[in-house]
Amino acid sequence: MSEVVPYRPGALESFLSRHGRKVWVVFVALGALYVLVPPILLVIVSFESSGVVRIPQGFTLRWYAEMFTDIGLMNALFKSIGLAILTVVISVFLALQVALGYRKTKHKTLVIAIMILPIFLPGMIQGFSLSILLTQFLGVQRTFLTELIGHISWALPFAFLVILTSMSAVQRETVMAAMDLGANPWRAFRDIEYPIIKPGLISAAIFSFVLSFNEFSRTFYLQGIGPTVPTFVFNKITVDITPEIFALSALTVVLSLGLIALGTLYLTFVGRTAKKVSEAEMLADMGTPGQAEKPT
Amino acid sequence: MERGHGVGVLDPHPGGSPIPTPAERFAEHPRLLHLLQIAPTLAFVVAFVFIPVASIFVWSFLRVENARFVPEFTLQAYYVLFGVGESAYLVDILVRTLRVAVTQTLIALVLGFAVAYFVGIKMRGSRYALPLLLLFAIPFLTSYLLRTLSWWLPLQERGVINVILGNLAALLGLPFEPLKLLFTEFAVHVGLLSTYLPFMIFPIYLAMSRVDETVLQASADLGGRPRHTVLRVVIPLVLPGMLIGSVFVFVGVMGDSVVPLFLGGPGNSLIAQLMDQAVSGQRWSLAAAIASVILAIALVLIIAWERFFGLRRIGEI
Amino acid sequence: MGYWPLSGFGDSVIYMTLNREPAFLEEFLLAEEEGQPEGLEDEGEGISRRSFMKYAAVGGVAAAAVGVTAWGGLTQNWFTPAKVPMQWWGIGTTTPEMGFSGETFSGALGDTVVFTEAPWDPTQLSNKMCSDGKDQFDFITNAGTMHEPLFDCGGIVDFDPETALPGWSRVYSQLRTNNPTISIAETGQIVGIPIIQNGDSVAMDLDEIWGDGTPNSGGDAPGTGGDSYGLLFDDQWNGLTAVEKFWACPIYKVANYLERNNLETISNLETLENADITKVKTFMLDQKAGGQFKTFWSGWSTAVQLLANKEVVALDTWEPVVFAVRALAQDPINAYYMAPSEGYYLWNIPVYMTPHGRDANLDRVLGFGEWTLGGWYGARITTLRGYLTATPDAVSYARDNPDADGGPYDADFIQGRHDKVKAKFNDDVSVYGNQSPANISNYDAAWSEVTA
Repeated sequence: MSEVVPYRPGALESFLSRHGRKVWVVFVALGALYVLVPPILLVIVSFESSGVVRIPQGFTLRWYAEMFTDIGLMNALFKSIGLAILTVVISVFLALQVALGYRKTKHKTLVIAIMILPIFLPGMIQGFSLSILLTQFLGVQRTFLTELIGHISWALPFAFLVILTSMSAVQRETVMAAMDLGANPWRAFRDIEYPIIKPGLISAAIFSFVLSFNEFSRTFYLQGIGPTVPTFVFNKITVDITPEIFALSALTVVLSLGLIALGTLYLTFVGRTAKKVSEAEMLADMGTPGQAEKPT
Repeated sequence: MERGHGVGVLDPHPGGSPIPTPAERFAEHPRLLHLLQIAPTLAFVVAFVFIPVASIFVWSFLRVENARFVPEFTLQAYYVLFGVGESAYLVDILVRTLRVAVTQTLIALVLGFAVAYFVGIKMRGSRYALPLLLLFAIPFLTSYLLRTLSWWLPLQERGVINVILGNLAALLGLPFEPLKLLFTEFAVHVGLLSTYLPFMIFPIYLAMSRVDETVLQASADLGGRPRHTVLRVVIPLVLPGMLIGSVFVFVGVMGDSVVPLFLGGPGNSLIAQLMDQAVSGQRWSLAAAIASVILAIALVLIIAWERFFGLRRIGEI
Repeated sequence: MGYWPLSGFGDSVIYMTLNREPAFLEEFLLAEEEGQPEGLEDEGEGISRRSFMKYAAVGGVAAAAVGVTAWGGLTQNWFTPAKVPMQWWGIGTTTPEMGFSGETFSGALGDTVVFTEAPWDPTQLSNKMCSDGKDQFDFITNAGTMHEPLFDCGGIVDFDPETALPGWSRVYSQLRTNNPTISIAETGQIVGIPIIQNGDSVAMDLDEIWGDGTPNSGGDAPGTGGDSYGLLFDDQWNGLTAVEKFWACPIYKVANYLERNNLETISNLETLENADITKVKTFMLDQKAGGQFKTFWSGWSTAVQLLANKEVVALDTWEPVVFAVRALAQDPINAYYMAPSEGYYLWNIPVYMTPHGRDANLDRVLGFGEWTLGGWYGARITTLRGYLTATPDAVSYARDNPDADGGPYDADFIQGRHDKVKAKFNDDVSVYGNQSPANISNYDAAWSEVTA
């Protein structure tokens, strides 16, 4: 390496500079495709007449019809939905309270540690430990309540993270100013913080719902009477052949793809600049002190 | 810079009003309110997550008799785990799991970074960024078990890949031997990546979306080539996101028992499967010992994190 | 690495830039704010916010109510308080599927039952039944031989079938007497009603193994002519066989194979002793090291898949897997269930009554047990899965009611299946393998090492 080589764009680099955008699009499309392969395969398998995971050799809608008459599956579905709704309501409420209190507490690292670390805990370890503690050492029955506890402890950190993130846009000074002008803490929250963190609350609710709806390991250990959809699926593929479960999964995939497509259309046809202006005006009207600091 | 958690950055009374308003009085004694807001939830998490998980360390030293823990100290579980006086196959599996987890984290890091870079920087301001991101979230909505099982379709001997390759070979008149893809470590990696890639993409994307346009512009203005902008400017800025994603993937793989069960063959088991089996075999001390090792590794990662970045930063990603 | 140190400039830039709302939240925000009239920001926003809060509150309460009601409806059955349904915890094998709705059978049962799918796992079973399960369920149906620990811990109770069940005398003698899966070994108390049984061996793909119509027996293992477990360990099929991941069935099949072919001496074939377990383990580890097994399968779907896609030529599994792949609508597999010279692995699934069932619903639980001994249940289960049910009523019922619910029923087919399976219980080489042995942790340790 004695010779100093002057910089010359390599073949790859010059190719990238000419076709960079296309290369990126192709790459990301492949990435999305890869992640989407399993859900798409589920849709394909759900039409296979034999209900076996193989290259489809016959087409049928039978499993979709049978899905709705499978009371076990429907019960599991209703239970999962009920559990998910309760998880959403409770986790988002608790997470919001902690996020509101978090800014004012002195022990930030402690609060963060307690709230966030459960994310990094494999589900089966938590489910196993909690179920052993409850049944062997405390003599508590596993019921719907223990499942709910498991689900909340899984969804809570995510809800908290999302709400906290959205709250970083709230200016502490604005709230102080509002209270200065005679607003009680509730009004200050409602009029100043709530509009800003509302998207965060919505994302937190969506997150919690999805996390709860698909929770398997914790439910598996903490289950009372009656399975949820994931544990139902597990029990089914263990001892029985049930192509209806593929139909249910396929339906979820198609529904969510459809919703995303609708959302994309909506975003395409809705102008967004006007809204941006009105938001800025609103903040300006409030005389936000930190406005100038906000990077744009 | 202090925003979000700065206390008393701004004096609410620059002029100094002598009579405190009710709001102020409340603001002066906010402790009770904060306590009421935070404490119950923290207590909930401590009671139902931290205490049980901490107990695992204790249980790993207890003996199990008739499917119950007996308060009697023994190192038996750790002897079995580390192969003292017996076959050391669990150590092999632990090492294999660590290897798979590291490989998986690196692959996910490279791919996840690229996707997040494109969506977060190249597509900045595009209204299609959100729908694109949501596509990556769809797998979360379907059953994990079925999603894993469906990888059989392309990977098996009569699967999509082999059929396509076989037809190609026939067209070209080449001899063709079906590839053995399923029940290999390759299949395990394929399955794991499709599961854990989104866990890498989202945190990096979040960090990416906060990289200031002006910073990138400045780098470009100063003559930085795109590659250097990425290496010297973007990566340092999104490093916390990359770290969170990596911990997600790493710990996720350490705790995954479904993918190797359905996609792995003999010799591809990962440690979490052995924990599952130990639970069903009433070897709960061993299960607790395996869990303790996984937890210890996770804890080391978290502590390293706290040392380098400060745990608080997680909340800001 | 020049870009590593973050403590200086980079750190503060991160700090500064991190405090922005992420773009996707902005999009959400913007999408949400859509529809507000321009120029009315203050009041408009206030009203919408207030009403949104109100809606949110109402919605939250409603959502909670829906959740609680859904749950209550499922578990407590609040909607029909007249008769509390019985709680049944069983493995899917025991449901007749058809005509089964979460609350009532359209069959002859005429009672309300809520069925909960149970895992097939002795530890989960005893874990649940010895703690809270005995107060939650009225009866359970799960693999036999798991009953001793359940009885010891008070999870299930004994009863006198002679007086309690009118149909008891019609139960096949093979199942009624000397059945280790329903009686307590020491005292002889009866704790279960046998409802479903079979003898398990190996499913094989005849087209592959007997490609030209003659048994392919050139392998190294003894008895590889398609009538021995040796097929699984035959060199010729190296990498083309599979064994179950869970120990309960395969460990006994391998033990039988070793004992009957004089490869090892197994001292107790029904409950392996630790030395026996070690012999099985050593043999299996040896086979695994030679690359004999393609995978260790887990779950019914996987077993079907392996055969249906010709991934393996033989695997140790349940008999209905064979029926399933033979009945594939396209490309069915010419599968065959082995009649092993070393004997079958016998099992049965009884109904076990819990203390709660005895105290709260004694007559109804016995009514359910009686119903499983009856014709419709028997005809349906045998037709559905080929298993042997407890009484010959299945045959006569099918003969009289070929078009009954869930039919058509073929009496001759049912008769044939019953005879065939009963024969498995009559030979003197087949064994009931204990699925809940006292040394279960040794079983599990050995099999974990084998399948790892």
